[in-house]
Amino acid sequence: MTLRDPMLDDAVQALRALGDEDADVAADMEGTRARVLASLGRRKQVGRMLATLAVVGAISLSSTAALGWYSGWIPAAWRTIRGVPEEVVPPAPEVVPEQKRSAASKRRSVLARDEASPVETPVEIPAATAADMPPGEALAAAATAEAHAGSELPAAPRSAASGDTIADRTAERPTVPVLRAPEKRGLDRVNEPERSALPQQTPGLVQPDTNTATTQTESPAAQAPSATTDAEAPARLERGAVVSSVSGAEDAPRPAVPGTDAEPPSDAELADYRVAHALHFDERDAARALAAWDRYLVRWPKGRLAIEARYNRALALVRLGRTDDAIAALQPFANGAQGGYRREEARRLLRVLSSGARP
Amino acid sequence: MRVRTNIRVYSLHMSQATLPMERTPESVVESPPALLDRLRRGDPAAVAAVYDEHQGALRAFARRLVGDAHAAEDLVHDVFVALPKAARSFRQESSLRTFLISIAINHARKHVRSAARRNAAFQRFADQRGTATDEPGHPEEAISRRQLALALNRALDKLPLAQRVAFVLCEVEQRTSREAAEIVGVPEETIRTRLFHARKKLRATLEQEGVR
Repeated sequence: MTLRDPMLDDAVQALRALGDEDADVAADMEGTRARVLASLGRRKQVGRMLATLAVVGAISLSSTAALGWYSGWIPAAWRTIRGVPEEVVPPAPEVVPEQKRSAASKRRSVLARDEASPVETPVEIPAATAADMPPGEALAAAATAEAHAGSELPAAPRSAASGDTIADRTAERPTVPVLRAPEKRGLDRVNEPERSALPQQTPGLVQPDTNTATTQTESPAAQAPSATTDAEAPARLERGAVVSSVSGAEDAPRPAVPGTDAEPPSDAELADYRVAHALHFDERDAARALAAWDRYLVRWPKGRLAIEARYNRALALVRLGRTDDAIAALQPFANGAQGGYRREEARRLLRVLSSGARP
Repeated sequence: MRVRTNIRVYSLHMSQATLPMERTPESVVESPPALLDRLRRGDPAAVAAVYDEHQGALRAFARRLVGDAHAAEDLVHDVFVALPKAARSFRQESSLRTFLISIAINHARKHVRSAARRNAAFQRFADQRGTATDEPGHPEEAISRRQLALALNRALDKLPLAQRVAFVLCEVEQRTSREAAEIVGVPEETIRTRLFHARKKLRATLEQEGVR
């Protein structure tokens, strides 16, 4: 290339000459040669070392992997990492013990069982027999039938002689003689699918003897010629007849009491309730039953079965003839303060007590 | 043992560092396959043989490229250390020497920077001392040419490396733009463009330094 700039041309020639001179003077051929060979040797050493490390690492990794695979800890670790839920297998759903079930579910199961049995059993106390009964006793028997029908406790083996009236025998039966007004069927039917879905047996918590109940149900079914409507109830009561009203379960859905449905009753609570229940329905000792109900309510004022206990206490008061106390105890139920539980029964009892039960 | 069989290599000697001006006969050198294979394997003997044959020319080019003797020596070292790995991509389309120069260009960046810093420091020192005319053993004319060369060196330090390489290859080494394009690996037109801008900037820089 021809330089068109003399200045640059001179400078280039000078630079070219300078380079040549420096090349002659400053050249360290042997020194640079030695440096080059030394650098190549070091690089080869480093390469060999890296290759050795790579081989050793590969052998170690493969050996460890093989050992871990055949010993099983690698698959286990992989399962743990990949699928923790698989390792931590949730336990199979436990069959919840009866004690842990809510009282509401227990009640529903009991009622469902009772409903499942042939219970369309109208019961009518012969007027003559009912008239022989003292009014209070008749009322208490009727109420007992209602309460016992809805009771969750098992019907203890009842002696046939415990009751001297058909009402008593009816009361002893755990099944619920059905006496329902037509208009109630619709409401009742609403609850039936739910109850029917519940298990018949509820182990753990005391249950009425189904077989016994069935047997006992059938006999009064044969004896009871006709059903008694609610409208006739006051008349029969005036004659001293006892009318088994509708099953308490149908008219008395367990009210939703705050803080009571959340936890099942404890063993101690159940024990207290059983004692009172036995005194009330089995031994038919109204005085001792009243005391037992009072003890239960003192210990478990907000217990799972407190509402039932209060109602049964009211029945005990009716049996003892303490009309005023019984009316006061039944008033909350009649007013629906307990969520409609036993409301109709309570109202009927109150009508009877207010009208003709005073001695 | 130096391998010369089947190698038509233009022998270089230190005193023949002006090879680029007489380089034409050996513009294409045929390297034996055996030597190339040894180079690719990193055989130290093969590297030494190539060093012995081409170190002078390479050093001269490095000196002109980086503008500093010590930096040029380091560049030569780097070129021959990188030769075994680079030889794997050598397709023998050019001479081995040309291939070495291309390796030098690729490794020149850091050496150019270090040389520029060194030259700048030396210039500041020289300015503090005064002119270089008092250097012993150097006739005035030689000093003048030396100062001109140093001035051009300093001006080259201010150029981008790509323009500097184009200028050194085409102007100092007196290679054609085609040869320079093959060495650098860019189109010929690019080399010409870089050369144009390099000359323009060098002229302006030398004028600023008062070179006439």
